[in-house]
Amino acid sequence: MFKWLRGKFSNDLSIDLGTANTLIYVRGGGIVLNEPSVVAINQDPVRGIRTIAAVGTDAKRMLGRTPNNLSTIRPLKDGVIADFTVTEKMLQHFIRKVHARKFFNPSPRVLISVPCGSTQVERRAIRESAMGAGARVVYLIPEPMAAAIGAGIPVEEARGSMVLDIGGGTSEVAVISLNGIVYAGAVRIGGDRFDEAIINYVRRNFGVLIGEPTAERIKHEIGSAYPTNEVHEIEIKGRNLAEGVPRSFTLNSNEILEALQEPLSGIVSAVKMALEATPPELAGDVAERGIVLTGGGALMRDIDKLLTEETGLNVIVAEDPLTCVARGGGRVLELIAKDERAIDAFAIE
Amino acid sequence: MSMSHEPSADFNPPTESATPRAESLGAWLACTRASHGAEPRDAARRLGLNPILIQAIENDDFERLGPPVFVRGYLSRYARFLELPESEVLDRYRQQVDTSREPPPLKVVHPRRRQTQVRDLRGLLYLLVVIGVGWTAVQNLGDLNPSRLSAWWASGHRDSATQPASSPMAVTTQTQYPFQPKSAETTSEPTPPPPAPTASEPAPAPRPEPDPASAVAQLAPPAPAIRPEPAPAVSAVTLATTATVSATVANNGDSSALDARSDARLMLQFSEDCWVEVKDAQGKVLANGLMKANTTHAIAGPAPFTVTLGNAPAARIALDDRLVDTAIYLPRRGTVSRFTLTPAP
Repeated sequence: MFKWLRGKFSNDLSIDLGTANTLIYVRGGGIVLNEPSVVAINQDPVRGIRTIAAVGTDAKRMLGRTPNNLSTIRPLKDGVIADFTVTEKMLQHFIRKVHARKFFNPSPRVLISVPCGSTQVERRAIRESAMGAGARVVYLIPEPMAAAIGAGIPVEEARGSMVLDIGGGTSEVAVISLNGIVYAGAVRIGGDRFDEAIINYVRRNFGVLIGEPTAERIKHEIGSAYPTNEVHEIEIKGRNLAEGVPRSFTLNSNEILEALQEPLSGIVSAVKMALEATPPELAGDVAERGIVLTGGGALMRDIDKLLTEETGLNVIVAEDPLTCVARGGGRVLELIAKDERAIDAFAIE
Repeated sequence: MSMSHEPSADFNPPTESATPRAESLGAWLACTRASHGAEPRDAARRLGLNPILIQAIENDDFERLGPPVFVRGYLSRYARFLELPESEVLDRYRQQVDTSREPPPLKVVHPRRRQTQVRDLRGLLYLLVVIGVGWTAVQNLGDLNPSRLSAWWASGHRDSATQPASSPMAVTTQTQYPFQPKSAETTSEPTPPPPAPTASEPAPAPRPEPDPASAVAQLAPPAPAIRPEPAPAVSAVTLATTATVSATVANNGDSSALDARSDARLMLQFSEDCWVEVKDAQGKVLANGLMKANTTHAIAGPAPFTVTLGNAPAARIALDDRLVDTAIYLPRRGTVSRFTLTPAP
């Protein structure tokens, strides 16, 4: 009963609960939160009680730099919940953060996009987690659908559109037509796998150990998916495994391209499989219009060229691909506000 | 934004030094294509696009290309084909077209709301009717008797067309059916039966008391009713209780219309409980029900009588004061016996 009352003082939210970042779109307010999905947990050495020390950007600053009593956790892995309790606390923190009113605990309607390859148990965990964080109603929609809507693809048309959402934990490819997903495929390859590949490459070829934040910085600055004449370089620091002392060295974009070959080929394979499984009429539409790239992975340099080269299709990187999923969910929320039954067309459960 | 020239028209291909800012994006792309010596059809074939799309791009008719996300895709592709910087082409597109505007709202086509709500309730109504009929049938199952129904069909229903409801066939019998533990008394009038003189006792027989334990079926014959004659053979038997069942047939009180054989009399005496059904020549049921042990029943009506006995060995029958040998009617198996009694001429 109080949830209903508190709901009157809450805003409807669209949450992109990503492995790397969590974005929140408030209905009528746009994207209001974009923070890393990282939680720092403080463990009391005497009583053994675990408490939340920091969430989001603050926690990410601590990543890899924590003392013994503090640990940083990424509660989502491969797009699904890996630590239920911490995810609930993180969501609760974010929901409160986007509500200015402090008198009532917010109890909003929440729309969360979930990977289409997630199991029913994983989806239930996400729903329960959001409910535990104070949500009044939880809607779940598939991530590729939200991404397509956010990218501006006319999903209601009787024309096939292919969207590839490269997230932090998963890459999902889907063919969409008439507000429905005709084909959806997901591979557990995303930004995290790119970072991991860079770490392994540096350790193997340079004998230097680097951390996740450094690998991520390398990916952002000189990461490339397609060979070009223009070579970028970056100077990084890590611990030399043989000497055990910190060393500084230089990496170039061609080396990173080599490091990323394996995860990139996994994504290309997923797209090719999707094209093979697409019905011919829709495949014709996709061939004419092209593939739309969304998600943080779409920001990797020349990834569209790689996909164009591999598939022969036009590949378009959506405007502001990082926020496509949250914005798409927000557009669905706007629709729900006018027509409650509209969620039936998009919701998974 | 309309182009001032057609791509295929004769126009001077601009040189590289031409200022692209001075013209629209479509014109710039068209000029560049022409400088490469390519026709729009060639460009469309090389890009795998419909020539109409190339023409729309060069005419700055971007609305025709669909949503902005795909327009940017087409422009990128075309820019790569023309070896132009993609970023500059896309920037020109953003400047030329207001891409900051909100995308059109989502449209969801709901399945047509079914207009069959009343039809849905109709099934429920059918169900309720069936349940009601079934419930009524179960409640009234006790009153249903196949033989009674057949008798009704054979006689009552047939005669109902000719006889009024207050037919003299006032079968005011108290009938006990096998599945009716104790029947409701439906006797029309407690008219005492005529005295039954017995041989051993010339005095009039004592007036039979209405014994609820005994199956008493009384018929109140409308005047003129045929009074049963004394039956010495039967009356010699001392009975614990005596009940008389007399059935008379009178057509609207006109006794003269009676059949010549309507004066046949049947006396039934039972040593044990026995289910009995007696029909007269017209098929009318004169007696039907469970007759208690040690009771005697007198029936009058047009002969021949069709008799069905549930416990034949327990019955003694006298027709027109003559004892009938029921042994010949005993069945080979069981105790149910069916036979027809015709009075001797």
